[in-house]
Amino acid sequence: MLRHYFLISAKVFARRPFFTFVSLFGICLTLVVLTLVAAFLDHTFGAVAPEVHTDRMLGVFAVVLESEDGRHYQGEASYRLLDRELRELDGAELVSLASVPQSAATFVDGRKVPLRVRHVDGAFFQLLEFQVLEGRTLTDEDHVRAEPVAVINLETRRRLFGDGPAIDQSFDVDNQRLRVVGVVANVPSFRPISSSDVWAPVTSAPGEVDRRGLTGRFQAFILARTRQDLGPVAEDVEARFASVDISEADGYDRLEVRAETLFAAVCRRLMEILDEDEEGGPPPAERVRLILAVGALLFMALPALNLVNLNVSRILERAPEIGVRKSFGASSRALALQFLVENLMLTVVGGLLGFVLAALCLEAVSGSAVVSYAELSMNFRIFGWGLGLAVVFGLVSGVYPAWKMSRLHPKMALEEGAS
Amino acid sequence: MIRHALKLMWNRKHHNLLILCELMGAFLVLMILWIAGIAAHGRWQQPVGFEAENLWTLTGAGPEDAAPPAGTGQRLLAAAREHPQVEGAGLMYFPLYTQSGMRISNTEDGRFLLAEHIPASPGVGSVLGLELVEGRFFDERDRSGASPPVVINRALADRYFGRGAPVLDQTLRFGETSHRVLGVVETFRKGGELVLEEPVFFSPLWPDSELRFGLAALALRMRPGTDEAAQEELVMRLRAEMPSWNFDITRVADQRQHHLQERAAPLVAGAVVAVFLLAMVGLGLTGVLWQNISKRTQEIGLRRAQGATAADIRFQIGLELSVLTAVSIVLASVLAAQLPILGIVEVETSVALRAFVLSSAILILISAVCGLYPGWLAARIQPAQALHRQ
Amino acid sequence: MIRLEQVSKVYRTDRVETQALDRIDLTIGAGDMVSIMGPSGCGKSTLLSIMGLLDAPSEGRVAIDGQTIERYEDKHLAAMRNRTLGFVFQSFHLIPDLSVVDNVEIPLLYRRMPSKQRRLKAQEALERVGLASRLHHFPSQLSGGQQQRVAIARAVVGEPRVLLADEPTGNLDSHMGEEVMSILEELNARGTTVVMVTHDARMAERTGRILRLFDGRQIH
Repeated sequence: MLRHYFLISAKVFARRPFFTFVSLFGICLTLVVLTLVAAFLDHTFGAVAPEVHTDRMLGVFAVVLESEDGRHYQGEASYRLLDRELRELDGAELVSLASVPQSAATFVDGRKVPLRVRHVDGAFFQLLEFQVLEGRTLTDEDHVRAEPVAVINLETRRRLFGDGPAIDQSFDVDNQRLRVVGVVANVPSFRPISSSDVWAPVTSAPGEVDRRGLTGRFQAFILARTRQDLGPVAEDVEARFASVDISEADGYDRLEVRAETLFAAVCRRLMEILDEDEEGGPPPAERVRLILAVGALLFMALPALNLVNLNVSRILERAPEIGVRKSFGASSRALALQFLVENLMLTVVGGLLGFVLAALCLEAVSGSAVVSYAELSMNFRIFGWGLGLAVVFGLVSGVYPAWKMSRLHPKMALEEGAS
Repeated sequence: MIRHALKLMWNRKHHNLLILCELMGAFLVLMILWIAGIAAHGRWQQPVGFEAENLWTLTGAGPEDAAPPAGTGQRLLAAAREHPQVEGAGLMYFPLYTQSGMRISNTEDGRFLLAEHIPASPGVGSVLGLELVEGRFFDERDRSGASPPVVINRALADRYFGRGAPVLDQTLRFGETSHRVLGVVETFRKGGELVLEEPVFFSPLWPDSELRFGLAALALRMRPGTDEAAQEELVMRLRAEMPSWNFDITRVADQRQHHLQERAAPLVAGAVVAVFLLAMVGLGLTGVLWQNISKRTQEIGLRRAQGATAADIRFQIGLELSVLTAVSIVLASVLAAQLPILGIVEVETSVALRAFVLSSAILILISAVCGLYPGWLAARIQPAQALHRQ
Repeated sequence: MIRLEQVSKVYRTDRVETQALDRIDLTIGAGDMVSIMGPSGCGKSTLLSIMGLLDAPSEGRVAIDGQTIERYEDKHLAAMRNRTLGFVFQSFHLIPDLSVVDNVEIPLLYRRMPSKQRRLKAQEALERVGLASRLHHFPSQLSGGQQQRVAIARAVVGEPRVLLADEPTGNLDSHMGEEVMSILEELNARGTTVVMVTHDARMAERTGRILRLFDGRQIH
């Protein structure tokens, strides 16, 4: 039965090149845009190197301090605070502390080279799998011995050293002189956990480790042993911080710390910006997912309407066929199904074409300097998303014409055809 | 003739409804695009309130736990001013073309007013090239005095005191402090060209007092023609002054370009997608009309047999399409007007009107082009065809 | 095999009401060959549609194969049409996008028959109408008589007990009409009930019984 449907769809499409072209054009366009969005989200939140373990990774991205007179601080924590509370977590395989990148300037031949510097501990390069191009990454030993060494990315290597050797060369950044021990591939700037230009041991920065106070510029990344450990680990983190002595925090009375996935953290931030932080509602991540889904459907609306229009206008052209099928025992449901299969086939073909086009677009984006170090590429997850979106689109645009077609009265259909 | 054609359309309303929806969708897409584009273009054309050419920003951040000793700002400014290429230097907490800053709200008189608070040293006025339309920027004379002086922008003056009300020497209360208005600038947008004008007030940041956040941005007015080498020299000087601080230096003109690129990118992407969407709608519409014509061969053939000319047929097809387009523009406009009425989005009326005119024009153009070929096909139908088919 | 009791059909538009059939009583036995005659607009095609369950009567009852149709439910009707009835139309109504053999397979398709068996049966049916060599042609590549033979093959491939034909020879010249008519007679000889609407008195005379309709009424 399905084979028959496929066959007849293929024939119908081949015989109506204009119709097929217009339909495919709309489907392709829709799916290219949606696939690009999906690809971007995947490259921000998905398990793409260096963040290969996002599925069992939590972060302490920010701490919240509140005082009774209404002051509110939300920002990164100090190294000391995180180091004291998070090193021994049950259920955690690795814990790494790293600063957010800080912009700094270094000068080469009188020209400024803008750099982002991230101070990290020894576990950072075990937690994340960077692609090492030269030399090595930072180790626990560098951390313990407070070596003034650095790992730089490829772009920085090019800017600082050109074609010359990079390993064991030194450069000044802020008030530090660092020796290069390794070069890694560029990481797109929209990967908030790993992206930077320079990575150096936190111990090598004077005074950083012993800095007092609760606030600072550090975040913690926690790799749970299994996905099942994520919940308990997050609870453990919250419990630990609940008992922290906050007399060091000048005048604040309450400290709130959450361990959450990157996606959850970004969604929470987004909801706060949008002022939609209702208490007791669904968690922000759920709401953002809902908004994304509704947005995708809205975006599909116009192309779907276009396709519905084309299909409906062709119903009468196909009336004799429908009449014949009904005369020979096709039920309305069978006809509706036939039409849906036809439409799904078209959208899936359009989706595949769209996927190829989206891949080309991503290549173009990666090649341009719109987003620094953007290296977007396709993977099976995005392919899955694209295919899923194509099916949703096929259903959205196919249901109404299918229903309409199946309801055509067999006698009327035959007369239409005869006249 | 026209009544007859309209009656026919009404009888085919089920079919026309779908085309109507599609045209409405296309119109809404056009409206969104034009509103965003016109608003951005309008902002881009407005002055930002400062002179970006030959302006550099030097940012510094100190250790967070230890507040820098009093006078740090003074030392930084002095070190920068020593450089021969520096014409003037001023101190702020947050640099131009960044979103970070301090916002303070005022709910005292029962009305909510959010304003950006920019603490700035007396030199900032001349370094940024602020043009005051009333009063003056603060200087050493204003250190004493009961209430601290502020310089505000027109947006804040209008919203706080009311349009046209006297502003100079009036009292502006924000939080627990009463400020005295010393001057008014027409406009000031710290965030840059593509950012909406917000209420802003400058309050004095005396360089010899304590720097509250352990960070500072120096606005440096450079002599025309200064080359990049001065950047390193400046950073080295300041580093020597404050060894535990981190410094970075940028040209504001570069930041401006980056800002424009970053803000324009989504608009350009949206425009590209919209153009494709409209092309798709156009092709789809052509297909649907074409299909309709071939379905109506008999009707049209009969009309021809009864004496309608090819021009009559073309007129009828054109009329049908025009009515559909007009109705969809009206309905979509009514729909779109609900958003500002319900307070979901804010759009200036003049922007909305221009967007409406442009969107309508384009939609009419699209439907006219789409109707051409099917109309021509319809006009070619011969009476014999209709009779033959019967 | 087919029994109609007091069947009427009224078409209504906004203003006009047309009585297409007026209280028809009719019984057609198994194995009969019946033709329906009458001037244009007398309700012949409507009558055939009602017998073929393509349309519901405004009043009256229809029984096919001893089963009275109580409710005109899509699923039930579809199954009846599929198992018991076969149709041949004046203008053939072959699906232009499908090859000859694909067209003939259609009734079997809705019986959920495996594809190999379908193909086999369709080939047999086409052999019976003498078109075994044209399996993969498209309808547009065939002559009118050949197209109608394909339509007959499609109508009989599911071995229905009743074959309903609406002017099967109407669009054909006399030679081709003769060919089609003899196929119908042969089918009837093997036990299929055949009901056909026709204008052609010579064709009608070859059937065992003629029903004449005038203004929606049976006059014999």
